[in-house]
Amino acid sequence: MHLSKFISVGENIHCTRIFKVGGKFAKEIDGHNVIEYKSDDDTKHLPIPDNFLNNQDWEAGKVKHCAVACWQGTHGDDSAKEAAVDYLQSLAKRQEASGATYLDLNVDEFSTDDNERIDLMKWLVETVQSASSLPMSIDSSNIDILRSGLAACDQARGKPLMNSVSLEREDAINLAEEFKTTVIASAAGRTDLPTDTAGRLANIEELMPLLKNAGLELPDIHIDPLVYPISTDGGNGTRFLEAVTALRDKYGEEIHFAPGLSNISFGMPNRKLLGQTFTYLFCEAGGDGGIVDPFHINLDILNNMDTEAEAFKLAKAVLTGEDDFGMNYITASREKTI
Amino acid sequence: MSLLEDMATALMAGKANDVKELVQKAIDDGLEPGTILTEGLLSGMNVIGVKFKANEVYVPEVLIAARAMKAGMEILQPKLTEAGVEAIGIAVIGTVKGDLHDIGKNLVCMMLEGAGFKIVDIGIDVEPEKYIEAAKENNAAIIGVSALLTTTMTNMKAVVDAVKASDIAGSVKIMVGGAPVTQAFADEIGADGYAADAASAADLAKSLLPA
Repeated sequence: MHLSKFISVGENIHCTRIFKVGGKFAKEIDGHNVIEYKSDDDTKHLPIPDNFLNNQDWEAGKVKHCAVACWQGTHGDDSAKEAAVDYLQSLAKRQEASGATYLDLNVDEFSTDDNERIDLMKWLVETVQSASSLPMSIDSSNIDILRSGLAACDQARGKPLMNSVSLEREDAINLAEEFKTTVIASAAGRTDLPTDTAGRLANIEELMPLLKNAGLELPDIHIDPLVYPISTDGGNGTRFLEAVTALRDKYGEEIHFAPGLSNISFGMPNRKLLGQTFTYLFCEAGGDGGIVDPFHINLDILNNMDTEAEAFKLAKAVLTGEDDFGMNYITASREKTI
Repeated sequence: MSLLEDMATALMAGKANDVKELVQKAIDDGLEPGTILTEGLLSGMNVIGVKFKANEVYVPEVLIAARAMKAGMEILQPKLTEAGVEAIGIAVIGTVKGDLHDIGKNLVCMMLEGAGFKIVDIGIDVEPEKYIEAAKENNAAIIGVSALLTTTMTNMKAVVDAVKASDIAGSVKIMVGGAPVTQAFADEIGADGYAADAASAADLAKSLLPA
């Protein structure tokens, strides 16, 4: 397989993303807790504020690094603010350099205060846009946060992407029309989340006329057929891949895809390998893009996958339901042979 | 190794057929059904829970251990009923109104079952009233509420408020969980407990039972 494009919706600027405390990135330097990062080849430090040092994440050995940057950028003193902006902008630049097509921004888990998050999304869009030429992908389950982000998007760099619309979220379709966006169209139904091909197709089919009425053409639509973890049901990979092929057959070459591909590896060891292998299989099945970490999934990596390697074969067997409960894969990960 | 230790070991390895045979053997040997349950099956699941929390075992391994426990319970349950051995508590569990996610909820159900609870799974997109109805109907000690989105998490408060305004207030404890949920949020809405993962949820549920 040789791919000439992969529409990469870079997921690295999410307030959910964590680093391990005491790991490579979240460490103590001269008695201060910091996030260490590289910017323009220099090693730099973003201070972690006190309110992140006594919460439950910290106790569990985790820190939400983008949330730290968002907090420092909006509440910190001048030097912390400057570091926070630099941190987020370097994340944006590095994703762009790794081949990202859109930069997905998500502040949903920053706090439970709607107004705070509405303001934060606007700030984040402006901050990221000033460092990257890419269009944004505005990601929220809250319609007011979506609106705030989309209103701040610079249309000159191309239509922003809205993440997401579905039968369950018809109100978001109006926003797409109002702000002239492209959309991620999820296969979620009104009352349940389909897991089989027929259910996914039926929901997308019902959604299509609504999108068309809002002025969206096929190339404006990125389908998310919904990815479920392989760890809880060995058929989740195969059913997803079948649906991708069926959707590609039905809607032709113009439509795009943008599933959250990392969901597949929830609850499994060696998630990066599963994610890369699954993305490869997804592209073979007719997929052309997804919400991914562009550092680990990009055109270079996909085009240079060694499909004869033991690691690829083991991962593929899990993902296609041939390795019952993933036991061979888990054993190999535990024994560090992959 | 004793028979019950063998049973726990077989359960941890997810060997459903071995577990079945060992349960049958334990019954034939005249062991008390309650002892087979706690020192055989539940003791194995407990180790799985501890290892899961420590990231030493992965989700599929929890699943096959739970499946092995289920296989053993098929044989043991009639004997437990005969002997009058009851579950340590009954828990009604569902995903909050407006939210269609069920994977996390299902894992929590599994871990609580492995801790000795009887589970009443009321599904996804559940109205507050339905939690109360199911809790009354089943005489539940625990209501578990799951949410995966910041937009639906706020509906957890409606469940807490409805329970507090109902006639089962005081006789049932409410625990909440799901990716965006935090201890601070649980405190804010007046829930009795929060757990960060399925294994912790089982520990929490046990601690919420009346002494």
